[in-house]
Amino acid sequence: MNARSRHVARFMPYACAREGLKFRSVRAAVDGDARGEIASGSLLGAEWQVLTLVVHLELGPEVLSAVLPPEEVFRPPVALVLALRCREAFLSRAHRVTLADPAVRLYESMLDLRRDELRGEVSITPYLVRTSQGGRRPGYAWRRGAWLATGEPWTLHVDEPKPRVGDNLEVVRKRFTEAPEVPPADRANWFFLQLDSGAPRLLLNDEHAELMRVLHDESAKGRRAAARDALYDRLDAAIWPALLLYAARAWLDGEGDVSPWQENVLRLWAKRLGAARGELDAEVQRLAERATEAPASFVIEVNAALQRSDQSRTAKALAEALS
Amino acid sequence: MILRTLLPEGRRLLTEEFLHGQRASWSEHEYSGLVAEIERPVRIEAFCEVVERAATGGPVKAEADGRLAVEIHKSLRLSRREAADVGVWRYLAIIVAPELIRRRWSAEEKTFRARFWRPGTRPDSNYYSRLWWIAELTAGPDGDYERTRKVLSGQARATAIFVRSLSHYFPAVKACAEVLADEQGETVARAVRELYRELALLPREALSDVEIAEILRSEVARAKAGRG
Repeated sequence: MNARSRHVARFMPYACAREGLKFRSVRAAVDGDARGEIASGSLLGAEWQVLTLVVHLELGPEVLSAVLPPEEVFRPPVALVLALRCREAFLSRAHRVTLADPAVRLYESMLDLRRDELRGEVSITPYLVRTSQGGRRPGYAWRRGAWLATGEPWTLHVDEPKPRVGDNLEVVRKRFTEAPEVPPADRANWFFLQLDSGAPRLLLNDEHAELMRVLHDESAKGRRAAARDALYDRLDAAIWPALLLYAARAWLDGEGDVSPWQENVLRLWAKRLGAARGELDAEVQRLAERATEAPASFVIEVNAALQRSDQSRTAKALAEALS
Repeated sequence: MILRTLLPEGRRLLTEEFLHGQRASWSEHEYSGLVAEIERPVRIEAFCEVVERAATGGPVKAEADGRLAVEIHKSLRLSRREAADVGVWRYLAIIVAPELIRRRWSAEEKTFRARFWRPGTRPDSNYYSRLWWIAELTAGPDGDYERTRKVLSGQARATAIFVRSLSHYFPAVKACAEVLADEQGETVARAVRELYRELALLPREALSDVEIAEILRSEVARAKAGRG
């Protein structure tokens, strides 16, 4: 979902119920053997082919009257759609349940999941959607397919969850002369930022032994602390603009459909550069556009923000270093 | 020859010498600790033939992508689960068939390393992963590779569709292939961008291919009117 989509979803232009649907229970059968209820977030073992889920969903008591105009409530033009998604296996599939009787609020549905179609995490998100176009009434959705109610997704791990790649900057100490990912001309440098795949990695050159000792020094004051802080400032000044420019490009290319780390970096800096509360999504989009359209001014802006936050520390470090 | 998965530590095989082709390939001894078996034995001789045929001759152009995607997909009968293991694509690109990637892309490009390593269907992803997945997502249950050729007949079209998660939903891909087949870069980019925005209110799974095609047609018309 991109920034504008998130903005629209947050400030919906019509009546809807974000927590109008709830999973009451999900019972499972593995290759035909009943296994009873299975909690959201469970991990399934490796030995299975077909998982049958019997899903019970509850529609909140006031949802239909809140999201439909009064004349539609008694014959609601709605259906329940279960969106089955598995990002790793590029899977997105619909399972539709018709709502025949508006008086009934508990719905049962059965889905088969095949292990050979899935990897990692699977989610099932419920949506109550319009099944036909309605008359345009202010405050009500009228388009066919518009969602009127949704709820927390139910999730299942088909494989052991891995630590989420890309949420953080991975810092790795290496001997650069033995690191093929570092270009030969840069192997005498003390750090190298790698951005060409997956999580960003900051490589620190272990061959600079004294520098590594200073970087990992835990002194609160004194010359070594001042030197350490100066090194971190140097890293900040080099790394933040690179991460931001890279994430901004990915954000615009992918319409906001980016890795968690890229989104985190953009949101963090949108806040840091003064996004007002409630306008963060729009500000991320503006930040990405600014970074891409005028990279030089953007880098100056980022460096100015870094300096603002470092002023007292820099003065202190200078005093320590020269003492 | 059996398909295997290259472990994350295998990244160290992407040396400058390897990327530039000064070191053509790695020996089994060199990668032995960096690979693992996958859940089911999958033979890759047919894949190797396709790639070898494509790599003979001069540089490989973008126009070959559609044909290659179909041939690679037909030659590698993987389940989605198997294909979702990023290590299998890294194994194919780095251990089995690096030469075709060297012929398709220049080692001087900043994204060259990613074309061996990065998972997914983005324009700078692992070349074989991208082509196989685009074929998988476009051929669909009826196995119609004409859609694959259509979406890969222009890079702007393939990029606009396959950098977004709507490409995971077959009816959306089917609609894109049908409506955008003859449209040009900027129109395609704008129409897909607007469709993606519409999906904030209309969950894709609630829409059929016909409904998505209808939205796309109106976005194409708006994009053309806006440009004119």
